[in-house]
Amino acid sequence: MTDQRIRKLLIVGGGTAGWMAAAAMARVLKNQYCEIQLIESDNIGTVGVGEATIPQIQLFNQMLGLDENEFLRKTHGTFKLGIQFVNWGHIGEKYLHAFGGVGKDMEGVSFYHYWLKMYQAGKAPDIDQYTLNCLAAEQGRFMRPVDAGNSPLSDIAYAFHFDATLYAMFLRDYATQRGVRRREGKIVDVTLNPDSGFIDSVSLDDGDTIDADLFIDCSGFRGLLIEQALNTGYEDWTHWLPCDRAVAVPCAKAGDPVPYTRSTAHKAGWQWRIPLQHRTGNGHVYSSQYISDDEATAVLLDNIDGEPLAEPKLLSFTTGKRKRFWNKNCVALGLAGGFMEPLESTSIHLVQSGIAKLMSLFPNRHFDREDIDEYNRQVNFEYDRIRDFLIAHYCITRRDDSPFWNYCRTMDIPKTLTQKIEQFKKNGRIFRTNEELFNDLSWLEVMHGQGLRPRGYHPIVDTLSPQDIAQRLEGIRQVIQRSVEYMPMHQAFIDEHCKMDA
Amino acid sequence: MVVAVDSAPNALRQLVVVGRGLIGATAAITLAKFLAPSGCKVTWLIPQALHECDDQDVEMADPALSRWLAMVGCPERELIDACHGLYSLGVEYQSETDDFFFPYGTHGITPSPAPLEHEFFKCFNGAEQASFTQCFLATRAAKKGRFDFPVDDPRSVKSTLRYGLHLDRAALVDYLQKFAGSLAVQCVSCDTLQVEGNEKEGIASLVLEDGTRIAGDFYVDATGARAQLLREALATPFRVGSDSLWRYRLSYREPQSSPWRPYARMTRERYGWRREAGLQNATGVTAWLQSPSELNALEQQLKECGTRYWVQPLETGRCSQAWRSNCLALGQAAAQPGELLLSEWFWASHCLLLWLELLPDRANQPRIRAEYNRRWETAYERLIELHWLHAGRAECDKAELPEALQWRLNVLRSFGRLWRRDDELMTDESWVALALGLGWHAEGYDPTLADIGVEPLMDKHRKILQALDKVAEKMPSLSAVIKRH
Amino acid sequence: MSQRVVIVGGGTAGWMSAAAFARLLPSSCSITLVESEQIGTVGVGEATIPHIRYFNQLLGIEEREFLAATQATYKLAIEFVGWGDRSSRYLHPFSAFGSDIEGVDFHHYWLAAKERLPHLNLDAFSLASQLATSDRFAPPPPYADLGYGYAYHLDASRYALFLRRYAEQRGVARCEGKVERVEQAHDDGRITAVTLESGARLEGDLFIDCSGFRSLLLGKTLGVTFESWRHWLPCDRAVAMASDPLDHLPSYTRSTATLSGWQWRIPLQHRTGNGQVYASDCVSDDEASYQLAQALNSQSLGEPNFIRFEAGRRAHSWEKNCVAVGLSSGFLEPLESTSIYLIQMAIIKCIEFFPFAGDFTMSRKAFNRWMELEYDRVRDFLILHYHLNRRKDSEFWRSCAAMSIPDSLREKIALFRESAIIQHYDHGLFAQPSWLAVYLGQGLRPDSVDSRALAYSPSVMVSSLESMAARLRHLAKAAPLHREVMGRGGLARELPAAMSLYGGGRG
Repeated sequence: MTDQRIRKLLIVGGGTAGWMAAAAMARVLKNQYCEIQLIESDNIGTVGVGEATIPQIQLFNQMLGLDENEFLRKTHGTFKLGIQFVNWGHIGEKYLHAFGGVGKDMEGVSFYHYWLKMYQAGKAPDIDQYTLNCLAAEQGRFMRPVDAGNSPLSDIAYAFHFDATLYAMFLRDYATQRGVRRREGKIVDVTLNPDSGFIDSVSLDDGDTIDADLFIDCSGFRGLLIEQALNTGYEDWTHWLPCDRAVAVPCAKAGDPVPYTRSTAHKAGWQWRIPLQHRTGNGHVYSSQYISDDEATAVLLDNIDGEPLAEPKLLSFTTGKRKRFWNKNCVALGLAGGFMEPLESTSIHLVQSGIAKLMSLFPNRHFDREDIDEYNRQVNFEYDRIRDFLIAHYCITRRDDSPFWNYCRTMDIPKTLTQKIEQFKKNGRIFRTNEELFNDLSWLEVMHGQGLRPRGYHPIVDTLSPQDIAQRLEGIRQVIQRSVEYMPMHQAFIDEHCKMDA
Repeated sequence: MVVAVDSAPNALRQLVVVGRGLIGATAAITLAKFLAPSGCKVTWLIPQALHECDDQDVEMADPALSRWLAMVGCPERELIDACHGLYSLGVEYQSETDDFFFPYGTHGITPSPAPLEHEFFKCFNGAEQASFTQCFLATRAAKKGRFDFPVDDPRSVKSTLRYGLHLDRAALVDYLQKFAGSLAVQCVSCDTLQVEGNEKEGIASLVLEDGTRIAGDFYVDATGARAQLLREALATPFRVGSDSLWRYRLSYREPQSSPWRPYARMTRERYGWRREAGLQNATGVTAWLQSPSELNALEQQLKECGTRYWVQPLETGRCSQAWRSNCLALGQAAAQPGELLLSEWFWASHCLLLWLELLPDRANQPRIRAEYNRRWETAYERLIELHWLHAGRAECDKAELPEALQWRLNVLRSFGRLWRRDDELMTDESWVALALGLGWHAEGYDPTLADIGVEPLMDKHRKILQALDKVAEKMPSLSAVIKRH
Repeated sequence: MSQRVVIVGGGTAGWMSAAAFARLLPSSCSITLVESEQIGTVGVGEATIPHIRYFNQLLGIEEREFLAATQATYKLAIEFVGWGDRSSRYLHPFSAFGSDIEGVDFHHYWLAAKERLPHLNLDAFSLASQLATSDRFAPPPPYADLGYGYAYHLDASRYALFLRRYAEQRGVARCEGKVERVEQAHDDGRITAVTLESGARLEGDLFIDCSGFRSLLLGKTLGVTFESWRHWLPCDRAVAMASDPLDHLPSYTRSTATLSGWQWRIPLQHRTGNGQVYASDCVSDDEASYQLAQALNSQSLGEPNFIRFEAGRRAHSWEKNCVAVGLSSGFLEPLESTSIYLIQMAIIKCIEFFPFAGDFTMSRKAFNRWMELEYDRVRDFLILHYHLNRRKDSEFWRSCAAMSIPDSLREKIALFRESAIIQHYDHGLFAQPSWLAVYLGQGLRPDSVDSRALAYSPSVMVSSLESMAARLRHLAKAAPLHREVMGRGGLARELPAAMSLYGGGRG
């Protein structure tokens, strides 16, 4: 039997997705398993205004064997305990979608059921008082988890904010040191195999032609290979996620960076704020149907903490996903695969999860049909579940101050989401579908934070007397308050462990 | 120089426990449990004819027993079944004038601003102060016939509960003997034994009637009041205490009370104290009497009813030391503080654990011994104090109380405070509760209460009682708990 | 219940008393404090032990307000340098070391494994020590199996001033002036009034003597004799000097043994308190102050301040209707930061045994009996530091090693030497972990350890001790720097305090 292994892998496009793929492949496909090349053009800019992540990124970093402190120093990164949502449920309201645990489960039942009962009876403060990450975020504290026995300090969940451009550069160094060849150039043509329709090669503006067995399309939203060459098709979600533009600008920081991302709802979209060590990344995501670009830019500039440090940059997109993420011998990662606004900081995660799935279903030159279908099934599932979670932010709202919000509040939503909301409304139950990214606690924090109030609670919590529950809740609250006090300030933690070079 | 790391050449290798009853079993089990892992062998000599034992007696164990069972890994529920046992939340005291409940555990109410009992000192004079113990969940539950196990979570009010056990003592000894067998204790039965001394005024070996010689590094004398090793063989002097309040202990059984009560009852009788501790199938009654004539009267009465009973003469006092050379005496073999609220088992196991904490090696360090004897003496004095408390106020006013006790009671009376000392056997809360219940009251109270009115305090107590009752009513009845396992 | 309480003398003892009485005694009691601005107080930088937090909380004082007002910093331990022998260095943290294993105290295992673990001293098994050695501070994390207590370094004069404001706001009347005459009743000799230079006359039912070393009421007026402990605690002078604050802001007090005494270093926010305690028959004042100046870690501020004293206490501190609080009742050098503790205990016990009914007998007996125990236990512990030394470099240390010590102490040391067992007591200040820190820190090596600690395979024991230490090291490294915590004005939320040196136990 002849060797059917992939001999050459070509990544089209640098940027975060491209270099993440290159770094990961270089790490896993070691010992000259195959040749890995990446083509990027310095002329094509990358979107680099500050990137927020979710805790899963640590798995990726660990897989690469990165030193976390060095990574943060080089990317001017900061830590992140969650996302604060401002003005979402209603103007003037805010809540934190925190990573990690809430309270402490009792008698095998999730903590939040007990809390819900007491909260409904007006005998418990809001859920953030039982969440270490919320209290720590509010006080601007951070530390990594340590072995402190049963204390919540033992399992602090965190992610990062960093400069995406610096991250790509950091990974580029990593990948090229491990044998990935970087090729400067701009693709002008793609040659398909006339029989199979597979991609044979790409041609560059300098006249070179590069062939490969497997292509990874990281060319961004336009999908140079997956769409322009292979015509895979795109599923449009604008009716659910109506924003289609973003304007981004970095600004000078005001004070020490906070350990959380902030997302503030405006009248026709929302604004992110991502604190880095040296500056703050901001962006306004909006729907062009309801607000003009100029006005959107003005809203953004009116709502940043410090002096803008660059000209605002405009981006346009269509929310949705590629009909197939893996088509023939081409796998689309990042924006080439689909676009969902970074409301829950899922962009990097989607790249990472695409890479991980590609690893586990890594093909040979036969390109087994079943494997490709399985890949697409898994990635689809991931996209759809995240989509539902994002839609929940828009549709569970009481805002009626603008046509945009009136639309969102009343639009049709996917059945899967309707089910989830109805279930929660009835008795506060939330079921995690298979391994969907956001677990019951995330759904709880968001649905509750957006203002959804269930009518009942889980009946099993009645096995404990209300006094008992009240006492235990209070005890847990005190433990969490005490734990927070052990944590240093976020800036002090950065100063000690991962301060960027001046 | 620190002993070489890779071995313990000086560790005790061979322990010999002598004694047939509960104390012997306890010693054998405890020592095997804690010292066998480090290579120490425990031999338990069970002299059949050593001392007679009341097979009707009921062991009224305070919460220390269930702690001990957990510590040595003895299955409590199985033991309760085997010994017809019941759980107990405390002791009810009855006298012609008033009733009082002594709960195990604690009330768990944090001082605000003063400790809870001070509020009662302010609100009440005299005997009513003892209603302080109504603020224990154990009291509320016990009086309703309910029982539940303590909860581990300190935030739950059920975490304040502790429970004692009432057990058929003969069955308990049998059960523990079997349990000891499962722990690699070598049990040796014998009829008589002789003690051979060594040159260090200690014990060299024990010789059984068939000539078998058993030698160890260390001996535990659990032979009861006879103290065959410590007193007979080593001739340790015994000092009779001046405080022999009760001279006879008489025990018998009555038909079981129905429904089962999750507490014991102590009744003040003309002759002294009468205690009832219920089992599943009977109630054990124990009487402590002062005079021979009263003993005669009671015996007469029991004979008339055809009740079997058993009398033990009491002689309060203690040996000059409990640990001499390589011999440690436990329980009555070392001292007889008498037994009212706390049993011989309590006191023996307390001392045994103290010995284990200090644990000598084969060098048999003299300063460890001195430290043990010092603390053992303290424990003995603490027990004698409890005796005096039970003698009643009138009796105490006549007698010359031990200085430490007199002082403690004076401080309690003047300031409502417990004079704090090292090595207490009971928690401060329990001691205060007991003293109040047995007739000593406080005249002073915490000054932070001076500016607070009586009404708000009483109101607070009412609310506490209501809250406790709510919890207590949800607890299962004692019989439901027993039937569940 | 109406009582007139007159406090003679301001300073730390006086104002602590006034503040506590104002808070805790019933409103029917009137409280007056007499002090004179002409009489200086001994107040220098003062190191405390965790009990002060209990006192502050009893009074309802907010920690952050207190920290700002007294320029206080946090304290987790005392470091002893040069005690034992010249090269010894150990910490006495406000915590236990390790946790017991199967009922056997941790230190037996440590002693058994010590030769294989030369790099892990006892401090590696105390989170408080680990925090202190890296200049960090955080309150004990809940649930962690090793809790600890914490205290403060504070400016005692500012503390007195802070409490004065507190007391005056709560109705304590302050009288400026020197006491000229003390009036006593003819029948029983009790004090009835004090008259000031101004002629003002203050009558009272209970007099609190906070007049410092002069012991104006207890000693001078009522003639209660002074029992000297100089034969055990030979130092009789101190020279104090402030210096600039330390940048790295240690979270511990340092005590460095010198040729004939010892030096303290107490880091405050605005400055560092330094002092040299010495025996005047071994070293001159000039030399002592020179030694101190040489040892400063930062630029000195102001002139040296000399203090004379004698270790010991009055035969009893409550006589008739007069209670002595602070230096008027006795003096023990601040080697273990006990001065404020002893003041606090006197105040608390005075309130516990307050003679509301007008009968002073029981109050006096109970108070004196308790304070005697407190003083004696602290005294023994201090003597231990001096006696247990192998320094051969001065006559001072040689004679301390050779001196005869109280029987109670001798027995304790002998027991530890024989078997590594620390004599147990429940009350009085220093319990097992403290004795252990000093015994082992000053080089006392027991002849044997608990045989159960030797039963484990050494490699298992070594690796389990190593992982225990690693865990604490990591936990400590995660905590904020002390400087950072002070930079934000202290803890955001204070933990409930306990009357314990080692924290209130578990979460």
